Amino acid sequence: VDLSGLFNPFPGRVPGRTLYRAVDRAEFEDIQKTGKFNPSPGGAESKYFYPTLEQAEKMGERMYGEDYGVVVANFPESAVEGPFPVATEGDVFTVPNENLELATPAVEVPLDTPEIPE
Amino acid sequence: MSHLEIVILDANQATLDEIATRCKALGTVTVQRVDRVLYTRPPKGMDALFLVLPAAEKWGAKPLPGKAQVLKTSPEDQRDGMPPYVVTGVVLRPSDPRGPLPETKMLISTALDAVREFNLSSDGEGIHKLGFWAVNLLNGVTPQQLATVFAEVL
Repeated sequence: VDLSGLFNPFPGRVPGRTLYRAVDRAEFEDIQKTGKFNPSPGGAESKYFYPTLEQAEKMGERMYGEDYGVVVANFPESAVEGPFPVATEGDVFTVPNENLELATPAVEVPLDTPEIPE
Repeated sequence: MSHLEIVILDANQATLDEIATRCKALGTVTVQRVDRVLYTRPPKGMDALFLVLPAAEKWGAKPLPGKAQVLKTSPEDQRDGMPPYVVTGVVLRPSDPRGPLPETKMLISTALDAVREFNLSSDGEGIHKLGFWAVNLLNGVTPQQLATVFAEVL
């Protein structure tokens, strides 16, 4: 019997896949408000995530300029699809909408508060 | 592929000048400077814009091995500056060669294949001007190598 998958080297921490996602202001505020990932308003069936913070930050800068944050979450392996090796971009993962609630997002890179004009 | 213009976008004029010089002989590859690289804020006038898969999530991009997708944007997206279509990046198959040059060739060739297929099946006007962000094409690839890739796949 192979019990290797039951060994958790970090007691108290659930084993799984730690993934990062760059989010715009609307998604960031939605996560802060609800405490969870929600399906995208556009109707996409899943959300994309990166295995590294560096990848997520690069995506955030190119998608949203300075107006983005990065959230991190530890998903059960069974909730995640991938890795998908994307040409010139490295690995990405997807999480189907129905599995998004299986992880609790935490802020990795906060989103700056917009300056209020005087 | 006739009637297809490739426009390479970047904020760095020196980068664009280098690409333009190397791609001059191809005729169909041009460059355009933007104030800053923002994936969903391309300059106006294109029929489609290449986006890496996560950037095209909003339009339902799926991680399909070996195949790029052509996805339609909404009228609201187009009011915000997007062209009518996005062309997605591609997931590598286990047998696909890895490394900056073969992956860039894969990215470009699958994008152009998707446009060709779309234009053949399209009753409308099709895609005749396709934009690429230079940052997606120059990941470990020189402008000279990029020009060679375009020469092979166009």
